[in-house]
Amino acid sequence: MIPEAAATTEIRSKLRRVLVADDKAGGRELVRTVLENEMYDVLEARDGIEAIDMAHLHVPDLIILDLHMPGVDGFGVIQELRQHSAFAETPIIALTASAMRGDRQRALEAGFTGYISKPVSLKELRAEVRRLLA
Amino acid sequence: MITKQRYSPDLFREILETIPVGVIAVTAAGHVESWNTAAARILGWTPEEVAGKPLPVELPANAEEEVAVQAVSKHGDAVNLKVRSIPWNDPSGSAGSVIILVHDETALHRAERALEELKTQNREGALRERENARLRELLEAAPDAIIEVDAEGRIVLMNSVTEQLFGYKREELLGQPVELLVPDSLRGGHHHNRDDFRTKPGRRPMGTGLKLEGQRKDGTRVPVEISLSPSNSEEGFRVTAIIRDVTGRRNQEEELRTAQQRFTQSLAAQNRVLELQNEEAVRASHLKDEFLSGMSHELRTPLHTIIGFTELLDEQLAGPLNEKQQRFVRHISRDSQHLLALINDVLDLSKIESGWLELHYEDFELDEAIEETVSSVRPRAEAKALDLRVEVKRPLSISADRLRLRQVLYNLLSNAVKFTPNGGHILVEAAEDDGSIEVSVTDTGVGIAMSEQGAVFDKFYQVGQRHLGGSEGTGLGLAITKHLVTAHGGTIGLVSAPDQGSRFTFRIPKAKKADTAAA
Repeated sequence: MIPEAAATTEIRSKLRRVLVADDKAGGRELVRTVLENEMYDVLEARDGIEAIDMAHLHVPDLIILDLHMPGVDGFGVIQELRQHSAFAETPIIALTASAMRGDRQRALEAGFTGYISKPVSLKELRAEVRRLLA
Repeated sequence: MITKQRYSPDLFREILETIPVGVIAVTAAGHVESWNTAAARILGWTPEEVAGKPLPVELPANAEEEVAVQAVSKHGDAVNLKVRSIPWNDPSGSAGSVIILVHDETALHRAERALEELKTQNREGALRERENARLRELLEAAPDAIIEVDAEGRIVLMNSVTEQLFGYKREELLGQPVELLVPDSLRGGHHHNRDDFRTKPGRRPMGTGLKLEGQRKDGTRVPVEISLSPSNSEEGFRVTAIIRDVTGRRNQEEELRTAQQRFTQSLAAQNRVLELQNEEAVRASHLKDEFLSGMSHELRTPLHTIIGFTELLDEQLAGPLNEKQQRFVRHISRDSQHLLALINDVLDLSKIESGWLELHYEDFELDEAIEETVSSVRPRAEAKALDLRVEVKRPLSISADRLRLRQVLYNLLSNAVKFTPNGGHILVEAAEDDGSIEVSVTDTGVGIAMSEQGAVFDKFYQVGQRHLGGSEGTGLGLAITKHLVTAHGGTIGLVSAPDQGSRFTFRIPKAKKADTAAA
């Protein structure tokens, strides 16, 4: 295990990069903590617009989008990103507190490659990210 | 006695020439011997023209009885005569002479003929009079106003219905322009209509016009239908107009239309109300749907971080916890999981109770679903050293909502695990039976008293409350379970005795019944 503080710029540049978009600070920190412990380079976005900007700026290897965000929601973000060839194949996970039946189907139809419902099981989160970046 | 000698030849001559009867003497040889003034006047020839000559016209010489004869005078006029002939011996003594008496009947005849003609005319007049009377009767018997108008548009004939309809007396209308009966507003242009009709005459039956109106003497209007027919009599072009008062009918039509309109309006209003109610119901349903999903979202979002960070703490990734801290974290963990279960159950139940539980039917093997559910509770069963066995007659194909059926199985199994003391037994059995599948979960747990068995499927009933001194359940599990089974057209029941254990059995059809369609 490499502590975060020890991760030099050089090392960071070799890590897989994950962008997490969630309008709740707690939600962002939870995912960041879990994934940094898994040796991923984690970027945060506080809403949909920021997520789109950060994605274009940093071109992450994986994106985790909260579906429910003010302004541009997760569906809006993926719709924008999937238009660009750079993001055509990027794995994008929907993370949502919505538990209505059919939501998963709707997300997959919108182009999401993974779907995790809140409250998240850390095991599930790790497994899903690992699977998509394998 | 009067003797011949007492008459002088002059007197005789005088009489002969003054009597109005034509006296002609003809000799046996057929020559005119004598031709008096009257004969000359009647037949045209003077005595001088005929004296000694044969008769210029043919007259019967042997008519002892008076006979009617028609002859032609010298001037070519037909004359009607009455003729009688008397044999006479003339002074020369020669036999065969005849005196012919000629009465001029021409004037009489003419008078008779005139009389005859007059009589005939009288008969025809009477006939025409009768006909006229009959026509008038007809005219008066008609229920409609009938008027006849001449080429100048003046009323020349009318019946009494016309008087009643328009409120004029006959003498006020006869000879007046027909425009008198036309509403003021149309009066000016009416003569154009008359001219048009004159150039293109033809029968125009009633009801082919627009909504026509007539105007009464008092200025009020009356809805009418008018039928026009042209005629050319010896008096010239005439138009007969039959005018029907349609006030009653138009009122009826109006009433009918009003009634229809009212009916249509009230129907539309009812429809609108229904639409609004429907819209409201749809909106309410939509709102509740939104409320439920929003509520679910809002409750889960904070739970996400609570549960997530609790898990992180429990994993001690950010640093080691002491024993007490670890115990605290486990309390938070267990209660937040319980809160999550409650939220899930409450949402489920409110969906079910609103009638919005949608079953998504699919074909699957029930024994596989049982195995999956059993393996999800097995860790907890093993933690309590429970003997958890499955006895299923495979394969068990079924058409049902797989997720919901797993929820039913999970509720029953987790209850069994929860309420069975350490070292106990749990048996899951499933078999097909007469088009249905029967599944039972039997445990050697605390059991339920007969008096409480009726309430176990009620909301918030906590099966193990008293026996285990606390609960980890929501009290909604069995209520939801029963709803889910019932929604599949199935039944659920239990057999139990305190401290002996419980056996929950549910039975659902292998396939969706036709009458529970459209899930």
